[in-house]
Amino acid sequence: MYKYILKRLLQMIPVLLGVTFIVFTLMYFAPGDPVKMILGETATVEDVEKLTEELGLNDPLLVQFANYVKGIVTRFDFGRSYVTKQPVVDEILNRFPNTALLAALGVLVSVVIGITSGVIAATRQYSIFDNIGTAVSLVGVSMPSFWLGLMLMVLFAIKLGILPASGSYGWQYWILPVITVGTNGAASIMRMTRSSMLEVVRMDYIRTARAKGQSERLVILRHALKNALIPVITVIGIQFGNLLGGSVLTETVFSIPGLGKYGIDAIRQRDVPAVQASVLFLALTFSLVDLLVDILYSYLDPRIQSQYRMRRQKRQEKGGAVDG
Amino acid sequence: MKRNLALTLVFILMISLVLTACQKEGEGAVTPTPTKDTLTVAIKADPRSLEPHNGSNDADSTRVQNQIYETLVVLNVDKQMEGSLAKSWEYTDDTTLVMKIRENVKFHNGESFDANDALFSLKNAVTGKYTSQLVDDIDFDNTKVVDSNTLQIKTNKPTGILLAKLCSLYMYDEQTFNEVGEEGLASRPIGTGPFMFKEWYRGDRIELEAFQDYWATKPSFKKLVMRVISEPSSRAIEVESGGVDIAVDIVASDLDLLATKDNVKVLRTPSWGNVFIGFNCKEGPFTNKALRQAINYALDREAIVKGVYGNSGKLAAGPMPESFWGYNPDLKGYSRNIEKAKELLTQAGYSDGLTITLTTSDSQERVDIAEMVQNQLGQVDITVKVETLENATYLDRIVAGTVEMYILGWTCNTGDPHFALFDPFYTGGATWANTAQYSNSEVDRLLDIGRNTVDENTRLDAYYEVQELLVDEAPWVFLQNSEYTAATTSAVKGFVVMPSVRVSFNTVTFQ
Repeated sequence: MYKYILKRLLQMIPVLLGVTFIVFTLMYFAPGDPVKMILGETATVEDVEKLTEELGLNDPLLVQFANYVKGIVTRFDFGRSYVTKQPVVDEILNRFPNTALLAALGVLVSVVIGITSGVIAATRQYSIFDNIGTAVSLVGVSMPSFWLGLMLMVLFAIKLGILPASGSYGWQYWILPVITVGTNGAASIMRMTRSSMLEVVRMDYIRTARAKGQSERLVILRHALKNALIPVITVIGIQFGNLLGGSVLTETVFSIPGLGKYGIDAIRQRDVPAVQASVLFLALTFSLVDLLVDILYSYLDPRIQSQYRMRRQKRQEKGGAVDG
Repeated sequence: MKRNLALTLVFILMISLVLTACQKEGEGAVTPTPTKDTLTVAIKADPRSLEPHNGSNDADSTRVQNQIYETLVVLNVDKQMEGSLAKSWEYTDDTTLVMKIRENVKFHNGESFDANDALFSLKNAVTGKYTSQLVDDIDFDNTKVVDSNTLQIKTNKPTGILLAKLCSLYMYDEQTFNEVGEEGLASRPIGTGPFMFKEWYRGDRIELEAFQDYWATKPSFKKLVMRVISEPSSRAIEVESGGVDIAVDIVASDLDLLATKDNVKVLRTPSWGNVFIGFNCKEGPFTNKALRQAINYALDREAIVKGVYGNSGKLAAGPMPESFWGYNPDLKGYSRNIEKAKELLTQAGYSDGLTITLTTSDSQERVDIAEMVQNQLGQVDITVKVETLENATYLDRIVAGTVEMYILGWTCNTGDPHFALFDPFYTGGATWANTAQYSNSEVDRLLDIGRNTVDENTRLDAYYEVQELLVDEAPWVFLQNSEYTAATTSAVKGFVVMPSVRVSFNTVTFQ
């Protein structure tokens, strides 16, 4: 397992380099001069030329990229924002906790609601629970988070006056944004859980478990759910990875200073260092979440572990014959 | 065992993610919920910098800077020049302005403000990215401190716009600047304004404290928190729910709704900005004045402004909003007249119609304007192709002069007509300002009179005439004069919306 994790961590390096290079190239060729964005419209031609030279923007693409990577590797320097002049790594690290909290709590809500309702819908197929659950999940998946967030604000902050409308200054401020993020996610998890459970409960081993006299609760929760969760974990992992990159709309509506909004603002302002660092960070978090999901797979699916054990045994046998 | 290890690793990672997100706020940090001690204001974007000479002078930065720093003079809501850090002033001749500096004014660090600081600020502005153009008329070899409260400013030639420029130049403490430099001031600004800088939580809020030694109206509350709420609907909801005391930049769609609420007051005033449709007057079909006039007659400008902006702003008659000093009240804009439009089209050689390209940014308002223009011009056989571009690309195309017809806005930091008219219409002006690349020698002559004359009546006559000329010349379709809007809770008194972002919060009291 350790070797596997190490191998996966090393594999991230070319992935991150590749992502960085692609974004770097896209920003290099994108229309819109970042120097003019920094200096503003009043800049003279001389000012523009001077700053372009200072920022190294006259160098060829590969030279600029090499300098950028060198700065990251040797000094952990991701550059300074063209707009705020602050180190982008500081700006990202200041915003990441907000995004991480929103992502973690949002996924928690999605998982609890999604899996619970998915299991109920599957075990009571075609019942009123199933029909309502399916309808609600369709609405949940279709509902724009932007609209849902604003509606929640109107209901709870204005009409009922029991929750604050926006901000991130205490636990009560997180309730509405977490519900917004969680609702969208819960819908897709519910649908995936339901379809996966329906497949699993039809398996022979479930029939066997029932025939052996086990309680329906144990059959569903211990035998069926664990196997049904395997594809659901993929969906949860993708959602979590996406959320760690920042929920732009939720962060905007609820005024949460997170990575999503930071990245979008950086793109609009042609703030090249901020865009590159944001994308790199997103790629890193996504890769880590991907690794996490694979580790969970190995726990949930014993076949994966046994595959590795068999391969290890074969290697050892071969190695034993050669040494012998 | 290995399964347990995997599960444990996963669990630790989840918990650490949640724990890293649970930040502890610094000591003394203010949780910005409205109390009588704290005024909470919702603003639309984070400032770029709190250092006004070289940092930034964008609207969002200026709004915050204006609480910390002050200028020598200000233009008040009645369009009159008023003393701020300068008590009074007098032109002793056409090129000599003598300013009396207000006494007993302190910086936030306890140092006194005097004429030496004023002269230092003027000199420092020479190398400022955002201030050099404010002091380019000053003859620094002959500008001097007469005594600690008297500053004599000499200009290279007569100029009628020096005071207007000084409305945008914030004053620094020379001693502090020499100690900490620009970077120091950018992170901990020190001014003479009614509020002292406390903390900046980037992307979230700026916390300021009331300055107890402020020379004018001291704030009645202890803290000012400016919260960044970029979504306009969220700003409106926050003020309605009482989450903030004041929300600025309320959009048209929320204004009417908020006006119906008993616990909210909506404030609005004409701003120093407008929205227009520009023509490329240097190349292409719109070098022809008759064609430009034809389009002005063909458009139902009132319907466009009403349709896109609702009750926000006013239909523009000419190139300058009425909030400017020197606005010509007798100006008549173009009214829709299809017959006249067709006549002018024939005169311009387009009796069979023509095809033009209208380029716009991807802002919804501008796209809506473009669609209405396309529809209306279709009725006079003008086919309009609408080209929508992402904003940075769009601005590049305009500056490069590769658009035929475009939609843009022009906003000034001060209400002097020179700033509304000179840069956009003077021959040879930078194309980021004279986007139409317009040139007219008579307009240039009148604008030169306005710029180079100290006498107000002479300036007024010149500006009245140039506005009429520009309406006739029609380098733009003058569309909407914008307004600044704000909403406050009903408990807030004393907040005045200004035609610019230089609003003051120190006069606010709670009922």
